Amino acid sequence: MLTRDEYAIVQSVASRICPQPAPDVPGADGVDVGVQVDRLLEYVGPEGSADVKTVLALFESGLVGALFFERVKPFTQLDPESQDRVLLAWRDSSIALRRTVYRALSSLTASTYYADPRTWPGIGYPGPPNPTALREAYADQLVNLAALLEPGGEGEGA
Amino acid sequence: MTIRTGAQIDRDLELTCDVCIVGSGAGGAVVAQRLATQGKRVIVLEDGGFHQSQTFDLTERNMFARLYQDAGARSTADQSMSILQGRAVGGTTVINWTTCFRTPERVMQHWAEHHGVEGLTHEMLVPHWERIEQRLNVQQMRLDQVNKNNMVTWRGLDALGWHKDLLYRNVKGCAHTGYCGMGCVIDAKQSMLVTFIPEAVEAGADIYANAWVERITYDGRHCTGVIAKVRTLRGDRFTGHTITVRATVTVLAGGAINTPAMLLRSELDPSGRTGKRTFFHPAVGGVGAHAERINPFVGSPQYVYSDEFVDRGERMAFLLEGAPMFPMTTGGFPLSLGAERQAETELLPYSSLTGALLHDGFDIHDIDEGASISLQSGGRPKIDYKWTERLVEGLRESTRAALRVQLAAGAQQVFGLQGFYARTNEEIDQRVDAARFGPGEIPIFVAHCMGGCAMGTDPASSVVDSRSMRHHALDDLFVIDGSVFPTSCSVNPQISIYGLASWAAEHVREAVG
Repeated sequence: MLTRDEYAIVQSVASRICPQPAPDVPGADGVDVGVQVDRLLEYVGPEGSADVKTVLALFESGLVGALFFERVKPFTQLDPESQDRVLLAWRDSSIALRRTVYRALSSLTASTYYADPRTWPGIGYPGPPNPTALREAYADQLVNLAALLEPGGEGEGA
Repeated sequence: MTIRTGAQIDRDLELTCDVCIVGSGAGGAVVAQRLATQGKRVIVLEDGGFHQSQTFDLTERNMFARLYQDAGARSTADQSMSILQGRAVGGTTVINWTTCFRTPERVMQHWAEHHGVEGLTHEMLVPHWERIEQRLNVQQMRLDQVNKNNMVTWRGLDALGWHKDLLYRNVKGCAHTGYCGMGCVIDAKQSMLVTFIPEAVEAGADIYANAWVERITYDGRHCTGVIAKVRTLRGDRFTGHTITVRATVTVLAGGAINTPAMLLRSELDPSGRTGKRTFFHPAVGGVGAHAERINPFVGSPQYVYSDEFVDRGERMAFLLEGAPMFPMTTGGFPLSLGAERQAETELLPYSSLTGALLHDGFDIHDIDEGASISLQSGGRPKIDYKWTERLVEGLRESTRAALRVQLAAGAQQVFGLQGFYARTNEEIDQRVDAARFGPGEIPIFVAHCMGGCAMGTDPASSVVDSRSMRHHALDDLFVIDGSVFPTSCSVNPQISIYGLASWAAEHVREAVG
């Protein structure tokens, strides 16, 4: 769903918001937030992805940056320190649209990052309980949903 | 009969039945079960997939993508509110947190006094609620079941001398894992997926999953067809096949947002009120960082609530409830970068959340219009929420109250969802007073979608007739879901919708003949 350029924007933003926190925990680069966002957009579909693509284009644009005397280069071509300055300028902007764009990018990239099991040791989250073990322990109350499906059919996630 | 998914539909289908129901959640499933067990030929069209509980892996990443509208990314057009709404056979009941309240009597009185609702009263719904609650095993939680996270809210409410009580939940054999929002893997949650849907199918209903209803057709005052596009199981694309259903009676039960959008795609909006006054219970909260591990992801999501602020006069009321925290959903809260953000997120196991649901739509001067649903490319709903000073004041004061609860419970520090910190009540006041609460300034979550097809008796100001849930413009079209509420219902809405659907099913049966 993401173009190569859009993927690069997501990765650049994510790597500043969620850099590697510890030697044994990957950062946004390590979990490839761009690929995870791309998978999410697969579920959303092309029309639903349009808003995300618009936000990415707006944020990347050197022209938009120049309007605010912030930069003339696209975001992805800035060095890390400059990228941080730009992100914080959008976060703390007096213009609501810029703050909203920052919040959208920050939320999208950080939520995607922390959804990855490889990041959980870094925040003390043990992950969900084992669903197979739970189903075995509660086997007597399970509803036979498969029996509802037309013979030969396939439910989702099967 | 059976459930068929998009993978099993390899040609265009033309079907006939007594009742075609669009949507299989809290409204549609109840009507389907009732009509099917009465011997009516029922067909249900459901946009979402048929997700069996043995396929739930309980991770936020996978389950949000599979079970939520827009893979969990549904939001208002200005991105200020994230809307968590289910999309599956069973609808939002598959992913809700199992909290059960009947519609408060004061709310139904407000609907009668200010929104022209006649022919439907609190008293009339009581026997329906009683039957549904018995079937879904709705029971009040006990204090010894309350998890650490909710116990913080309980202690804080107690210390402040504020109202507090234990919630009712529709569970049976609950393991209290806390993963209700990712679908119940042990069928303890008495969702529509494991109760009324199987009963409807066993009684003869046919359910078509992955069937997105593009529009209904009509001639004069009669609905002539329901046209659905079939989706693939994976990738969510249209297969090119359609399902056309011709029914004696059609029931729209796609929920707020989707039902109004369906009517707008069908160009059925004679009053211009379709999609207007859509309400969300905008939800914020206060987080406390505690010395001991709280593990706010362990234990059922909600056990306790407070009515302390449900009457604020002219100002927007709100309900306080305990609420869970998980890495993906709460990882998006902080606004910081890099190491600072990581340090904040590392507080997760020591954090507790008190949530606040704002009661939007009760302003008697009609300033609170809530959201308006319109259409964007592909016929998808566009959701524009009108922010008001009442809402901003409500967000500010409910945040202040939630933070006070956490501090009173012993939090070492509390933080607002904008990212500010406080350690004393004075600091809470300073930070809350200084913080911005406008659109885009604070993350707002929406788990309850209501309105957009308001009921009433005046066709000029409402969409469906409150005496039957029949659409004002068509004699054989009913709307039976949360979209008919004239305001938000001020509590978690599943029981309100079940009761309404149970009552309205009788009117549908009469219309079928």
